[in-house]
Amino acid sequence: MRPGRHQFASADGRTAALLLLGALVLTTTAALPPGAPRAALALPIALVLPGCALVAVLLRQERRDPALALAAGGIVSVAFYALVSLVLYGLGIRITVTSVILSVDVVVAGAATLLLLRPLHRRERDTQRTWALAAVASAAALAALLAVTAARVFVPPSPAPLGFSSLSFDGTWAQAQGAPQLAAGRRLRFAVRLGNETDRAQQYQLVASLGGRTWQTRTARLGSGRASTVGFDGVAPAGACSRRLSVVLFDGPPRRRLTSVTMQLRSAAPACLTSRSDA
Amino acid sequence: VTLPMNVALPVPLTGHRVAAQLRVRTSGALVVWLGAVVGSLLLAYSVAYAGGRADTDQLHFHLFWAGELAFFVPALVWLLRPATGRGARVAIVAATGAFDYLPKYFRDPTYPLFHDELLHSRQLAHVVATGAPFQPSPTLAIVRFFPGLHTATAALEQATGAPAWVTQTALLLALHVIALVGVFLFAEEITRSARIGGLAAFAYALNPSFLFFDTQFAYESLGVVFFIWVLVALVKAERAPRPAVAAGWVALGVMLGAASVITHHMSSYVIGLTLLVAAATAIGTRARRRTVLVALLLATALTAAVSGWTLFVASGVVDYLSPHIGGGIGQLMRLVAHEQQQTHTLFAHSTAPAYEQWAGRLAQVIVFGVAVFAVRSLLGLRARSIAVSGLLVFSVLYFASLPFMYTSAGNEGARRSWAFTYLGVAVLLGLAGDRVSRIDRGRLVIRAATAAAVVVGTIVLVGNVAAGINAYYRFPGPASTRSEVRTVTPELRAAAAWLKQTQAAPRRILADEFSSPALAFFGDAFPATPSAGFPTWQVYLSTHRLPPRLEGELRSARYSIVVANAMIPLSRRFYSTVDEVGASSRGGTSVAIARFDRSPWLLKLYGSDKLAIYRIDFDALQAWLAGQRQPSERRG
Repeated sequence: MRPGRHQFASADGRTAALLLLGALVLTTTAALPPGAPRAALALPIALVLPGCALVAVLLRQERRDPALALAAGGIVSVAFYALVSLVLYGLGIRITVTSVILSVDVVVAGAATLLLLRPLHRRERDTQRTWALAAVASAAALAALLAVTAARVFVPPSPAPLGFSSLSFDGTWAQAQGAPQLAAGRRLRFAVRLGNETDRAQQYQLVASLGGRTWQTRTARLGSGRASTVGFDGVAPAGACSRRLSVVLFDGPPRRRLTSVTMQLRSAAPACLTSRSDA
Repeated sequence: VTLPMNVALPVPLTGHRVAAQLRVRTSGALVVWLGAVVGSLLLAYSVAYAGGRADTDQLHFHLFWAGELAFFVPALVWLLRPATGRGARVAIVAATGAFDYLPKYFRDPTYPLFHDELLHSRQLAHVVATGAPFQPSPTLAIVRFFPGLHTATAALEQATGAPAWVTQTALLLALHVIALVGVFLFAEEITRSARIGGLAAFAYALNPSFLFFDTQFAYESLGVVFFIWVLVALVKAERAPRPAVAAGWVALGVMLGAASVITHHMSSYVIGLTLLVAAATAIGTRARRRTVLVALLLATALTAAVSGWTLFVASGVVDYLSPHIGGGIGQLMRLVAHEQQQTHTLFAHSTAPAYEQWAGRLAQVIVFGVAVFAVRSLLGLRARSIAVSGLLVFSVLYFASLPFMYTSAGNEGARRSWAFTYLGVAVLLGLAGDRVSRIDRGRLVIRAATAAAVVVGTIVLVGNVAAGINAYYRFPGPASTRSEVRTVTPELRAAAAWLKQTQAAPRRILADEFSSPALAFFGDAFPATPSAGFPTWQVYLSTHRLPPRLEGELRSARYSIVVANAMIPLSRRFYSTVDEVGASSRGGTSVAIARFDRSPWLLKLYGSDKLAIYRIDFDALQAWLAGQRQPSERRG
């Protein structure tokens, strides 16, 4: 074997070994449950692996320019994932951990085989400019590290806090498709969910009215960022066929109306049912 | 023998000289890295400051630019130095890509916020959930047929187990770096100069879309990178030393072009047109056989792919794009004819400091002047690559797009075109920068020229960012309807979360145009798309009666939830996707909430300070409509 040929072959061998190692790590980590350690290990590999495998085969001579090889590997990887997903869809296969990892493994194995078996015709210098690669990698890594550190230190987790209170029906009434029926003299029982997203503890008052008349009142004290369920339970007085139930939320002092929830109640009285069916 | 421009003549090195060079290199690299560290912290602090001060002063703008310039100035000075090596230039270009991702990252580090990224993030969530592309989108129907970004991210998410937002962020960061390295390689290949390559890549990073628009998780952000790399493949294949290398680049070019076709309509059309122009140039200028073959192969493959996809998969794209293009041209014509209806004023209601606004107006003039200064150098490169003619066309198109900024229909399209057309401008700026860096008339003149280049670069950077995106997008602050992002409040997200927790899928809702993307993403809801045939705005705006036909359509399409956001003005502009001339505001949506609270056919299930969620009781609505009809019939 000529010296140049040997050098080139060994460079191909090293590239193939590196690609296979990457595929092995990616495949092994896929068995781990999703989480930060798996993501930290697998994401940088997955971002470049299939692309680097294709670039290594299609542009063997460009290995002398690591910046090009790495950047091309990145964009070709993204193109590979986009196109392979479409192919999988065409074959009726869903995008899952197994299908994606297997696709990557097939491409990497194919590329490694080609690199090792393809006949060599030319002598090439194996001048890896590792310093350039290291510079690019460290630039990216440092920038990413800076971003994360600075974000964790300075940037608040959400935009400027805008305090608000919320009120909603709880349980089945939250999913009500229409007005519930209520028989005269029967117990009316429901609950509301109250949330305090202001920056301080709040004293709330909840006033439930039936047909415009105050029916029950509740008070609740909630700490900042807390939520609580408040129940209403009592006998509903007789009234019209259709009555409006409203729960109004106040804070204070001074007393201030914040919001409300409303529900239309239909009487289960036979006369009301008849009139409804007529309508 | 002619030497490439970036090759310095060998000078005998003494031990003293080597030590001096090493000192310069080390200190230069240190200054750039220090600039990156200080700049990152200042950028992050500017965002935090803006969030806490609620637009009461302008210090966050000053902090932002101090942070940007802390990196920008040493990086540009280092790129202008003739002695900087190729590896260092690549490293600075890559670091610029990463650094320029930070402003957007700090703006929303934990969840998607911008309109486009909300709708694309929802697409991603549905592709991951179903494992299949082509999921319907409630807020922008056409994205369904361009699933490249969503499927690629979904595949990455599945392969790595990383959370969706982490995967999206990592991908965008990588794309930002890859884009600039691509511009570097493209310009380097054409000019045979790493110095021009570095300066062109740096100039491309000054484009108005680079800092905020191309950093969003949206299909353009990936499409633009495909565009750049297809051009890299074209020039690399054209200038490859051997046919085998050229074939490799053509194969990669076809693959990247095919991926662009399924990713983003506009990117694939620009790629297709560029390749057709390149092929025509190759044939017209009687270029060598391999160049013609490369151009024809790439152009044929990509044109076929684009045509096939548009005809058989995404035929609705013509209807989607034509109003933007046609409307913009029409408005521009009216603008020229002094019929100034529906114009768009730069910096209208802007909270940006005066220097940003001045830079915004000055930047394009400066860029034009520098481009004219460098155009002769570019014309001199025409023999080197068929892509040079394309760059000239891009530059002309960039300047031609600027008047569209003054039209309401065309300014969006103009902004979106810059990521492509600025490539031509960037190479021109790179050539001009190279001429500055080759000045050799004493230390004082060199320093003055470098300082002038830095000042020009600073004005272009500040001006382009200021003109490209308004301050409401750039910084957090109090809720405002001047931009969609400021309406994505914790209160809206809480309401969306309640919707998702309590209501069964598919959660078909009525909502305003600003709240819809956030409700679709955070609440996994399916907001209605209003149209002339489905005038959902009448639910909010009609004070008298609803058309019975609308009731029937709402019932049959199962749109049973109404979301009302008091922050949104009660104007048709916010409730209809159809642009209405002179649609007048009738106060806030709180007026509609007060009416809804009294309505017998709406059950109010959720309420907070500014938001309300109602369920339509269709039986009650029908009875109410019948009651409304009877008096009018009696009157008739």
